[in-house]
Amino acid sequence: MPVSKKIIKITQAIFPALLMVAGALLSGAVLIVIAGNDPIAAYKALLEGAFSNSYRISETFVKAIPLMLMAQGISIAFKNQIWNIGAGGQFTIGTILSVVVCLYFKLPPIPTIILSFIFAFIGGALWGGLAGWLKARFNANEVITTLMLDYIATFLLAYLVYGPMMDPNGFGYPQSAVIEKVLRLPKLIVGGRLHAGLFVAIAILLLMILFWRSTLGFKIELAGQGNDVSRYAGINNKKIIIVAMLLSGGLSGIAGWNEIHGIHFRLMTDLAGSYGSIAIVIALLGNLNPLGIAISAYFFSVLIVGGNTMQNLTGIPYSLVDIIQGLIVVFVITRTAFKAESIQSFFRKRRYQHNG
Amino acid sequence: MRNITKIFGHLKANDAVDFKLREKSIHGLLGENGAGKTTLMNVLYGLYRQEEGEIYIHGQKTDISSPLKAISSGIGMVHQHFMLARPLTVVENIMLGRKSSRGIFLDTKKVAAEIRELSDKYHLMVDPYARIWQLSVGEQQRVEILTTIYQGANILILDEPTAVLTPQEAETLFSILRQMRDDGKSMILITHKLEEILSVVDDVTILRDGKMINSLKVTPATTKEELSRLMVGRDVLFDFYPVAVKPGKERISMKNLSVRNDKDFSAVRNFSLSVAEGEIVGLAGVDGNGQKELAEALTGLRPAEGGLIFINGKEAVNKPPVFYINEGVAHIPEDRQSMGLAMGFCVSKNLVIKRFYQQPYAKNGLLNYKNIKDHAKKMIQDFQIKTNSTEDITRDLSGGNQQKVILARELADDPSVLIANQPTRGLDVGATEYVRSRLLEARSKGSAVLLISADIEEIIQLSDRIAVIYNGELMGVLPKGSQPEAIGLLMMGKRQGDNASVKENY
Amino acid sequence: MKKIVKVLFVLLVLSLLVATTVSAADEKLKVALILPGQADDMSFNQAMYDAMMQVADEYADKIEVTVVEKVYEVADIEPALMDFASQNYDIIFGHGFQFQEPLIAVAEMFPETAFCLGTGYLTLPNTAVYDVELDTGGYLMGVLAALMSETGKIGVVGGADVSEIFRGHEGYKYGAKSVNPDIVIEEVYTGDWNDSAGAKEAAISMYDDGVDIIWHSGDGIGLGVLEAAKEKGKFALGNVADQHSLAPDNVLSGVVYQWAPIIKNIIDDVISGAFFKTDPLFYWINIPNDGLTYASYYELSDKVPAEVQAQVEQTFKDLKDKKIVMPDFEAAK
Repeated sequence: MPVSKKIIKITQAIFPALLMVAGALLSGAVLIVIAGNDPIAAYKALLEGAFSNSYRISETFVKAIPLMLMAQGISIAFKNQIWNIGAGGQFTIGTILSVVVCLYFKLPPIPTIILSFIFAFIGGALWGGLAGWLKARFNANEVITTLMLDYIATFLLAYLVYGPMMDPNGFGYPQSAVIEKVLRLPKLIVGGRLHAGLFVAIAILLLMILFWRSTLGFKIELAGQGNDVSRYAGINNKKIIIVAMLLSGGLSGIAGWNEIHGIHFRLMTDLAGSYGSIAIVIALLGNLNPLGIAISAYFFSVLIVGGNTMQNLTGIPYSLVDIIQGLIVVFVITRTAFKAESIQSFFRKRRYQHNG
Repeated sequence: MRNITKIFGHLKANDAVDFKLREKSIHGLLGENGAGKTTLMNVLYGLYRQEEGEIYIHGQKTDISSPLKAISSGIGMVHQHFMLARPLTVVENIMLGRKSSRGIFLDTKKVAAEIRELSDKYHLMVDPYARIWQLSVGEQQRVEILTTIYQGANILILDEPTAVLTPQEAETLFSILRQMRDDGKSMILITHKLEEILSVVDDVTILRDGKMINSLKVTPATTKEELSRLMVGRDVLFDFYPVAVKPGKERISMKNLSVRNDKDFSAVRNFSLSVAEGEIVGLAGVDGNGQKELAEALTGLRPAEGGLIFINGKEAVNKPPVFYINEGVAHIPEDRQSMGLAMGFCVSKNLVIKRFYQQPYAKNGLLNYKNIKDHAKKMIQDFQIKTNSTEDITRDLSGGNQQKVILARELADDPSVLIANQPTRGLDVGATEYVRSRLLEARSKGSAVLLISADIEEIIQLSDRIAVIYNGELMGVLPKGSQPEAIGLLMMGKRQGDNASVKENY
Repeated sequence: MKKIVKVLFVLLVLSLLVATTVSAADEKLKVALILPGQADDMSFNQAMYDAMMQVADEYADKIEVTVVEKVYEVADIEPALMDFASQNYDIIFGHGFQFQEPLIAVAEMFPETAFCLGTGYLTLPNTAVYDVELDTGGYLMGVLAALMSETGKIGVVGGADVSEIFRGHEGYKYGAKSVNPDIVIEEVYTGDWNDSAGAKEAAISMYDDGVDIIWHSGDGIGLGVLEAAKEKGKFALGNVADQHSLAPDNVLSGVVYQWAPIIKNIIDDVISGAFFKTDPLFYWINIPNDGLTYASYYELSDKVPAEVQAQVEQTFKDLKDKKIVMPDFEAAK
């Protein structure tokens, strides 16, 4: 009985996500047909694009690492009901500080890498924590502040690469010098880009599972259940908002560290790209659960890598992936309705029938 | 109404219910919460569509597909939560959504005159030009009644109309209802208060679990016990008069306490009261007279503007909530859904939201789920919480079971002080009985209980001393065994021998 | 022993070269173009896209072309390059300096594939950089602007102060002074190629200051300058692509990049094998090699006096025939 109960529980937990993905893929297929293409061929090309050789498989992980780290960070804020939509900015601050440590600190390699990690974490944390503080202190809407801080980070990065941090030997292109080879994370496969950052990501995933079993995680979750109930339970909401945003931003900072030491090795404009917004969708699709986030981050990176290759090699436009992503967003938004009505009553009915 | 069946998902809210309303009568619809009373009436009012069954009005089969249809068939409904636009005047509210006889211009004057006429006829005492926010709850209710009559209703449905009224206001309402009956109108009174059935109703229909149990004429011989047995399905214990225990030392006291409300108006003024070990002090009062603010100040949730609070002899005013928790001040908040419970949490987590960081629920900053679950299992058993498992989401529990979760959490550690604000509001008879017995048990274990309630009967049944709050002020403290009328007068802001009416509380 | 190794090595390299040229002769070259933005951006991406399409037509028997646009994410560049390299494409164009690092990294893994980098400075034997020499184009615009200005004040707005843009601006000033030594020239670098809002601000303040014609040397910023011209009802000069349609009443003319000639050069060099023999290898477009032209005046033609039109045309011819020579601006800097 407990085993089947557990299975029901797990199914119940992931069923909405699976339903949403299936719905998005199906609606995507309908759109492909309307556009006059063959949906099966398109999805086949997408899967081939993600898995047909070792390089592409490694790319799916390369992409998943920063997305997962950022989504884990976002989940901390979201569980607290703080809508941190500026993960991209926190990521950017992480990249900047990593490169600053690597280029200017002149320390031996190992201390440099560790210090770069710490700086990236603290930088991202402060960037997120600032929005948290503004909310706690002035009740400033975090959607606005995190978004604005995202812009500030983007422009700060642009200023740095066009100005003080521009590579002196770079012929004036807006980019910093590259970090030394010894500071780069070792590659895990020959010819691919998959790097040791994977282990950092796995470690963070395990830490996150532990985090949600900690009293601090409980406090953050409880505060997310409403101001009144958490105050009633003796929690200092203002403090918790700041702590949640510090951690949330810190994880995006680590994602930035990861991309500098594993992929880019230097600063350029717009390194964060659209990671910030994709990570939000990943966090929500993963139901703010650390394992769910890891799975949905991987799913999204398969979509992205597969979609890019599909576009490159078959000419089916990448917009397909954009559409699938967009549909998932729509489904995620309507999930509350989904969850409350059909799915839960479906399972409840099942259960009662089972009992009776 | 014949053979009405209404299904929500898997739940049969009404199961082949027959309901017959005589002309010129007041008909009580009695049942516990969730028995299907409101559902049945919503079907009649066209808000829900029944799966099976027919509705006949004056012998004619009528298809009521919408409230508009219901209104045109002469059915009106006064909801529990008033549907009034607060900044507008009475006449403007009544005109809302109605065609004007003057085309695009408002016919305010004409409607106002008509309203005045109706108001006089039934002694509703409503000024058409008063703004809603200026009116007391009882007056607002009369506006709702007026609206339905103005729309031509012959059949009035009143959903728990006395839930928000003082005994005096309720009596006024009942006399209005009687007058309307004598004038040829029929009324359906949804209620779970047995006293109301006995005092005002001609016929009563009892629902339980969606089924019609019985329909009978109310005669002087009808007893509460008889009705409650039909309603609950078993005997219910009434009048459990508390055993007098000699109160011990003072556990909580407040001196000249003043508190402001969310709008920054003065809500509690110069309030002084104390509760001792092993004592229940009832604090009676009509809703919105500062009870919520007082309870929050006494648990650290709201700053005090002035005055002192002592908990177990310690100065406590304006200390953070966690201080009160650690001093053993338990709190059953008025708003159990947004303050008392984390609705999205499962039952086991809700049972530890104040203690989760302490042994045995956590060690070294990590939660011990096994101990939390074991604790929940014990509480579910001890407090008879109906739930499938310890991991059920609290939102999915019924109101009574949600309240039991709060009780279990607050009473588990034998609190030093218990602030219980409206602990039985909205609960059915069975759950109410259970909550009250637990309050008495807490008292006998030595807790100092401050029972805040608008239910005079509850106050009288449980309290060792009875304090009354009106407009944020302590009106007086009455001994045990005081008459409801005396308490009711104080609740209205009238002191004994004080004939001049006290200023209305806006 | 050493000698034998050397001989063997040379033989190996030769055979590889022969192999590539033979296989290339057998079938059409597979050419991929990766664009960082939209192919119809009326600017940097479109100029290259149009040129590639033109070459694909002219060289229809020699090449087949695949174009991928909107590779916005820097992190997605390397996998895109890998996709084409591993599909045995012969020539891969990465159109933008942000392709530099990943392009070099992938080129190292595929030494037989030719990689072309649209602006940049790092090279390998199998890579080349193609870029624009903007000084001649700037000179031509400077002449046109100075001749058309009634207030004696002209302007120029650029993105970043990088070498080619700098030389374009210097050429512009040099050209303007050549027809009117007293001309006042206002110059702004916004610091960011995509800051069209900043560029618009700068252009508006120039127009308000009495400037009556502005040339821009940028990408995204160009749109801002043209917006400002539209708003103020003043003239502007375009750059990169023919930008007439963006503001028909305001875009007088402009520098137009013609990448087609050097794309053909590159393909010819790959076929002949010369591409792999030269390092570093740069392909420049400029007026003398037909890589830069200027846009038609369209309906604004009657606003440009015949003698001005004639003088501009003459200047263009002189630049083309290298009768006008640019000084070394970099040295003067």
